[in-house]
Amino acid sequence: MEQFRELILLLESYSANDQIAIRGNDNLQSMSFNAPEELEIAPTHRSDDGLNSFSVETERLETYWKILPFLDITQDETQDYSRVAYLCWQRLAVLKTLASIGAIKALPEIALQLLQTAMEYDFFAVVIETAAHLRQFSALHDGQKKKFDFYNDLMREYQAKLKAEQSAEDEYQWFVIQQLQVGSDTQTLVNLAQEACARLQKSIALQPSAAFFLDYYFLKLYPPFLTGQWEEVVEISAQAGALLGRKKHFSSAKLSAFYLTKALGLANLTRLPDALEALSEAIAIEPEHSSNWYRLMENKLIWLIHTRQFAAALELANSLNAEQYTWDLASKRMFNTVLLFIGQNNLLNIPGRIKGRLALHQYAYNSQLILNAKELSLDIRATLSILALQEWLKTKNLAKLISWYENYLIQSQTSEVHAQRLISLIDCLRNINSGMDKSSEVGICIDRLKRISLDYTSPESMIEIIPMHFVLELL
Amino acid sequence: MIYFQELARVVTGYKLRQIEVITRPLRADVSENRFKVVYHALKEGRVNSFEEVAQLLELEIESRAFRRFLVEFRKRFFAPLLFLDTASSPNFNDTQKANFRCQRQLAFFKTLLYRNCPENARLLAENSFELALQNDVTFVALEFATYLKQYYVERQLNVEKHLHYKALVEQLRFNWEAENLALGYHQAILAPYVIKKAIQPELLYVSEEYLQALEPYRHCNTLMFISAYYAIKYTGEMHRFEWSAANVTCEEALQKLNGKSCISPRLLRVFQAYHVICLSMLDQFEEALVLNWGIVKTEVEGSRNWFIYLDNLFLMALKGNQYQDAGKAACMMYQHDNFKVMSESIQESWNLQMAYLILAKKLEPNAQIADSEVFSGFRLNKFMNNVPNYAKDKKGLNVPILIAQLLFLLSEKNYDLAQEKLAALRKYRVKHFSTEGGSYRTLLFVRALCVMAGTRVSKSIFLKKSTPILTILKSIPKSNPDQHFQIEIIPYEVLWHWVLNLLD
Repeated sequence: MEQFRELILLLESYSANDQIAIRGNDNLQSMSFNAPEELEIAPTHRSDDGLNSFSVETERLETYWKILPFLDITQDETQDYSRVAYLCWQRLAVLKTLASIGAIKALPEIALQLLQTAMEYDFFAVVIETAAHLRQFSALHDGQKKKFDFYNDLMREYQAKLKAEQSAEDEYQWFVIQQLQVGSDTQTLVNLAQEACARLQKSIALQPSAAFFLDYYFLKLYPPFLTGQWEEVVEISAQAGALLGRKKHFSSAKLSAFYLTKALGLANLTRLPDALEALSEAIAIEPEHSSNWYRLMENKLIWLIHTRQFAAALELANSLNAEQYTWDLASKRMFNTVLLFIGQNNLLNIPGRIKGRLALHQYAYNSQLILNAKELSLDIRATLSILALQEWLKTKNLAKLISWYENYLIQSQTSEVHAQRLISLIDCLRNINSGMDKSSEVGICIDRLKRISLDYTSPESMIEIIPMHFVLELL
Repeated sequence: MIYFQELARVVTGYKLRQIEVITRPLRADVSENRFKVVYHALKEGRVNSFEEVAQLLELEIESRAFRRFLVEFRKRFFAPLLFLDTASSPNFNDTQKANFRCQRQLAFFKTLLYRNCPENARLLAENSFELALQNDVTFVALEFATYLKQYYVERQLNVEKHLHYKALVEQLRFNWEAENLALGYHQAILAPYVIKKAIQPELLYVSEEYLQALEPYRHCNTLMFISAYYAIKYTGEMHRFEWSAANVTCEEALQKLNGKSCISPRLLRVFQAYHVICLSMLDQFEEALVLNWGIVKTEVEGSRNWFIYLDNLFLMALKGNQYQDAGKAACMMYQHDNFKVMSESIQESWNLQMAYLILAKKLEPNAQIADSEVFSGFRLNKFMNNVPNYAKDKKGLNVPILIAQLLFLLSEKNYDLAQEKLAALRKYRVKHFSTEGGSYRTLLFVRALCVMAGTRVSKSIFLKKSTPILTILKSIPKSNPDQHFQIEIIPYEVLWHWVLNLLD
């Protein structure tokens, strides 16, 4: 009871209530927040770099930030990893406030509970900071050297674990920067990743956090990924997934990265059905409607189309179209266009109602003008041009399309495999344009394309949402 | 725009309607939830115990439902506690206010991050980072910088900014490590003295070891590190009983702390209090007391430190025979509501010093201590029960306890019990004190008292036998006794006179 009284005294003496009444709004409960409407009218004063140049909005945002601690108060506190995480950080702030004000009655119990949760969930920094308060309390308030030693040792243990986590983070970020540097060759990157892994190896004995293993396994994955050792990619991804899956408390969303790499590995081994299974596992643990979730869903759509599971692809696209949350408009239009194309070519029966929904957001691909549509990205134009091949081949002059593809190869950063496939198509078009037999050239091209497997290393940059040979086969 | 989009996913109308704020006033004609009802009942003193809370809720106190209620009730406190208005409180200085704000901003930042609002988190981190950095809130600055370092490589590639934050992160990690290490060392040498004031010579070597271990971190210039480092250094000098050197250390620390752009009056007060102890041990009581009153006045009334500084003042006033000041400090402490919730060590220290103040009131003709109910409640039997920990501190504060007991018995002319006490004191001296074992002044004074043991208690015998011992005692300067400064509460020369007067 003393603890409650102490807290009430604090809340009343330091007028917490006035602070919660954000900007004179007396009734937080009735505060309206029609964000979607406001989004359209909110003035933005962002500078080019998008940073601190819009203080007016920062103030508005702050009023919403202050609401966050009051949300979901009735929900279970241990259900969700992220919820436990932010509650721990909120409580650490409360603990530090109480310690600074000198509210010593409530402090030990709050600190002990927080320490227990933070240890259970591997929130190392919270463990260290909470243990530091308990260490101080034991030393200066109780004069209990034994307890002091206990917390001191605990701090040391977790400082070592945190250091391991920080090293992994530093190594990973440094590697990413090296990878993105212009002119960095594959072998150098492979060496860098391997050296980083070797440096981190010694920290594994400290039983570091899932965050450590996340960075460690990403680094471990890079060499086989960069050198196209797909069996190894699948194996390491499975290892990482199993290890992290065993962690009692861990943000499962992070696990999806390894299911994805496993899926990409399998796809590159041309085991698309297995890849789809792994991809579905990744999707299942991603928070719905997050940007990653949409990205994975788009991958799934591509792979369903590539495995000719058109009905399943349609069902998926239909559900994504029906979502009230925003699916990126460009992606939505792209996939709808591809599916409508498949329907038009009788590969799939699309009911009129669904067709109408898809048609709401689509690109007018069957126009030669699409090549000049500068408002669209190069990749989108390339994808649409594949759908328009039928139209192009009806014309006598393919020079414009050939020249566009040649230009695309120079300007885009498409992978070597995809470039080879496009070159095969260009050769085919060039031969037809010079008067050679259209059907035999198309047949040769289809054979060639079938022999060059698609590269699934980076599905989001894939222009062949529908493979070129599928389209050519329709001719 | 992205900032509002992120928030719109989290702060929905439904969630807003579910918000509960227990601290808000109860509304008339509205059926409020039970957490709010209990909060206000407690606030207004309508319920004062768990039994009464259970009764109000019509629940059995032992029931699972009531236990569940308490768990949920506790949870309802955390969000409002993040909104304590520390910014407009006169109790806190600017550095403390910045610290409170940084801690809160960190809580909001992490909430945004884990609620999948990375752009809002980035904006908050960038807006609050400087405040944390400028005010040496190292941990908070480190958390912000760590995220920004990650953001500019994993979310939005900007190598320049990444490298900028990387350098800051490295510096902040170093500072955080240095602070934790220094604070740990400081606490390690303070902890043994909280309930034990006997000489612990090993701590002298330990403090030297700690200072050496901190040498690689010396260029860490944060408030926390500077204060912990100099506190260890001061404690080392104190163990050597080098009060002049300790004084220099205090001055150095104060100079360093004052040279910081973020001034921490709270930390300055800590070293001013050490300075007071040094001045007192160097016999500069007047200056010491003026400084100590200044410290007390600027500290938050009722806080732990306020009690510690008053306790310090109380002791220094007794040492300097400034009984009026001692009386005033005692009344302030005892009459404050928070006194009862202070740690045992503070309460015991006060109880012990209180015994000497009451002796002074009884035995010192010029003490001029104002009457107060604080003094009337003192009972010798109760006093022994009130110092349970120090009574076990055989070579430390148990000695002043025994001396005080003897003086009380003599003042009550209870010579039989006084003789028993003297016999015990003699055995105690033989068992726990030796000429080489330190606390030489204490040993001499106990020996001087024990001259009365086993003989008739008479002034002439005491005077004759104890005077040569007192002469030796007087030759040992008060500023350099080889004992903890809290042991000799009132100079033994004064106590000797009191004994002499009691034997009249």
